[in-house]
Amino acid sequence: MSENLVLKALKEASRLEASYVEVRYQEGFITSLRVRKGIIESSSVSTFNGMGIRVLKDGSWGFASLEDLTPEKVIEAARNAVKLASSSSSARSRRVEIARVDPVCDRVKTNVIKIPSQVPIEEKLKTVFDADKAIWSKGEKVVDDSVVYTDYFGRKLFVNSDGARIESEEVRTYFAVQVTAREMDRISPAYKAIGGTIGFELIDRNDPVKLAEEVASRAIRLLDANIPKGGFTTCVLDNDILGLLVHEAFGHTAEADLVLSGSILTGKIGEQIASEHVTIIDSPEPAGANGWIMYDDEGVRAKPVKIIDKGILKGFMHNRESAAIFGVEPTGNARAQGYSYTPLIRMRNTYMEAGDWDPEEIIRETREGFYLKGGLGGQADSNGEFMFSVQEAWKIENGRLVEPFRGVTISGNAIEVLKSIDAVGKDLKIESPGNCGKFQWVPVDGGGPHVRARMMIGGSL
Amino acid sequence: MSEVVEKAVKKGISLGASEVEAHYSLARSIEVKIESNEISDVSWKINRSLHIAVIVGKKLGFSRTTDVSSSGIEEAVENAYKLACSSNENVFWKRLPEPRPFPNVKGTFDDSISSLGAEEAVKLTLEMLKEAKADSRISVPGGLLNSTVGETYVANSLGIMGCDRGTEIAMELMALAKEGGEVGSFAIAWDVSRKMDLNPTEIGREAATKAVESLGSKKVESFNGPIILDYDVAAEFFSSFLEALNGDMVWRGKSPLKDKIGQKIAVDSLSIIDDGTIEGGISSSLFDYEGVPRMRTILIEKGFLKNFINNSYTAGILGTETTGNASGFLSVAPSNILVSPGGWSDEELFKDIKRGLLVKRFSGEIRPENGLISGSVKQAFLIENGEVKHPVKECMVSGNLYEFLNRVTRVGSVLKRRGSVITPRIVIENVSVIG
Repeated sequence: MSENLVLKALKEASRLEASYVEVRYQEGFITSLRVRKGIIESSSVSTFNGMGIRVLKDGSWGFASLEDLTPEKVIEAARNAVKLASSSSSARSRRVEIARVDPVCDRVKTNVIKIPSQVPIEEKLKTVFDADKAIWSKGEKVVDDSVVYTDYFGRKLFVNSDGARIESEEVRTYFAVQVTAREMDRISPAYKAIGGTIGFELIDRNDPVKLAEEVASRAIRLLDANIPKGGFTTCVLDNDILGLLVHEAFGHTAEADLVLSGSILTGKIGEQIASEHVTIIDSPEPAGANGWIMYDDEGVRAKPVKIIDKGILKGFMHNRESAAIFGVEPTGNARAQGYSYTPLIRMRNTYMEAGDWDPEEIIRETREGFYLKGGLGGQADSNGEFMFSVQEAWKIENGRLVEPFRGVTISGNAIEVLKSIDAVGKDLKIESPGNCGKFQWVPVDGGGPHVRARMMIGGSL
Repeated sequence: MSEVVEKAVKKGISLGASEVEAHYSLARSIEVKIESNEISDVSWKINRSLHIAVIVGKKLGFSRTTDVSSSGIEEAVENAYKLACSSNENVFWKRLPEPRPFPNVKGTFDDSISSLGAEEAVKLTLEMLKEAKADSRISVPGGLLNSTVGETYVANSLGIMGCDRGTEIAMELMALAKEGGEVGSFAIAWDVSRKMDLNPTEIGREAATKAVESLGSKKVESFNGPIILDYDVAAEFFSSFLEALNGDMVWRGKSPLKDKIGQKIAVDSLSIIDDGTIEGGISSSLFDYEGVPRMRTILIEKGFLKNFINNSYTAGILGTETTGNASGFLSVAPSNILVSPGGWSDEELFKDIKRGLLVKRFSGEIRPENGLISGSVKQAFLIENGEVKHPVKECMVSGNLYEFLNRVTRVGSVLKRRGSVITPRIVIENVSVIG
């Protein structure tokens, strides 16, 4: 790694009287394979390295990034970062302060069993081909698919002017399947992704062929399903949909930068904002999850944030700047997509804590409503309003699943939904890896148990 | 810099590849961000990326790198070559495109953007912010200014060699209005241009105006009626529609329009053109991702479907010619989308509408595979007897894209540029609005 250059940048920016400097160097490579109907549509190896320099001067941030890592260019970038900070300081009404953090010197790495770069490419190709074949063997209702395998290896070096030096090594492996089934003008999509901060053991532990078959079967099965009548109703949410709700509709509103801008949670610390059964946490753990980190991109040791405790709003997710404004400790939520981005307040693994209901019991004890399985994306606003598409829905009548439905959407306000939760399962799962886009992409995870709540259901498709 | 792509192509051939394509892009940008009513940070970035495709027979391999030293290029080409060798045959593969002369495209580079300094960028951003904040009811959760200077080089083993450069400046501001305990809905104003002609004051004012006019919104009862798609929403509507004309969707059988060339699919008043050569167009350039000259393609003419957009790969599968719409190695995307103006002036668009909606923001899904439209309208206004009455609380709209294309009753005469889409406002009849 270019340790000399990193230290050069740190020294140069400090020499120009920046009050705080951090330098992030990153290098890595990504292998990605995508097969569609027996054909490798994309097989690529990407290698990258670069550096980002962020400085605080005269109460204002400046940032510079580059990939041409020669001493002259690095010095130029460091000078630019300082100049940019100065250029905006008079335009600010409030000086940026950052919370104090004891500088750490550490070396960390993801704990993996099988390093993907040591697995031959043939084995990775076989994984995607076998899954693809299994999908098309499901018959002619399958009209399109995509099987993607991706692995990542990266090294980072973080240093700052407080004296921190953190070296980290990260391994990630993913496998995702997407199937579209069609009959006349009925279209049914299904999707499943697995992976996170884990090595090739991901593929050994999960059966990719079985996973692909399940996704294909679901897509086909739903072709025959009807579209439900819309309305306000009781819904039992599975781990995945709950994860989507907790992250997209609720989680973002608890990011301190959005709280400062005016989210639905602004000024509500200490208030009851959800039912007493609800506890929501954003955590750097568990190991292996897609949002796992040890330190954030400001060199802060990542710690769990209890956002809601038994229905009461307890705290927000912070970086060093927002922590100083709120007068709290930074939580290690500052994350950047890469060296060429400044860190933003981002979630990690966001989930609802388990309760004491047997998930099957929740359905058994529901007289009328819907059981919703698997999310398919959607959108949410910082006022908590959301709309998500659901992969599979079942009508519940007198505690039994009686009929499948397709094309279901759910909508409402996250806070209203959290208030209506009256049963929380004991089956906590954090297995919904995804990439969260808030100006930048970062890997996150989420989940929870099965829960029962009330919301608006809509039929579309 | 063209030696980067030349070296890559040479190296690939020397390894034994039958065809090689290299694409190198370099960008320098300045970005000023606004967060919570303040300029939050200023960034300066230099990014570069070399993309390589190596073809061995009909087997394909790809690689990317940020390291363009001689050894970096060689390693990247070797990576792509190895992947191609271990790949299987892509039976659809024909060959890379042949060199053809590039068009004359104007207005894609402006020296005053390439020489824009940080102080000036901060000043422009502040002007936009101050204008919005001049109204004490307004708070600004976010915004940005981004100016980029880019260079692109492309070469392939059949002799294509192209270099192009361009500039772009984008400004965006979000605003929220609060009055007497009421919070209006999120408003966004933005613009992007290839030359230094954005008006920060206007963008700031537009964001504030939109935010304020959403105050005092009332719930509206469900109804079926006309909706007027404002420029941003019309641009989004046509962009989604164009996915159904994307050669990639077409050859996979995912587009409902796959067999409809020559057929009437929309009202007479709709004509749409894809044109990558217009002066100052956001997506105008000399050539597409694979070095094929940008061109003008009529997609819809008076309601009739004329053409799909293609790159050389999808065109090969569909047995047609590329339209210069390669956006990645095998992927296809529109360039500039031009929707022809209609005969209805701004006032006439509203005239005689008994009960309808003017929609300024849509948040939801438009699925080109089956035309499903579902989502909520934000920043919408009730129209009664030809007049805009009041903002409405968020409500849902649903319907079908392909039916909507046949229910467009009025096309505005005023065109606006919304990024790479240039569109009028349009009126769609008989839309189901759920209050």
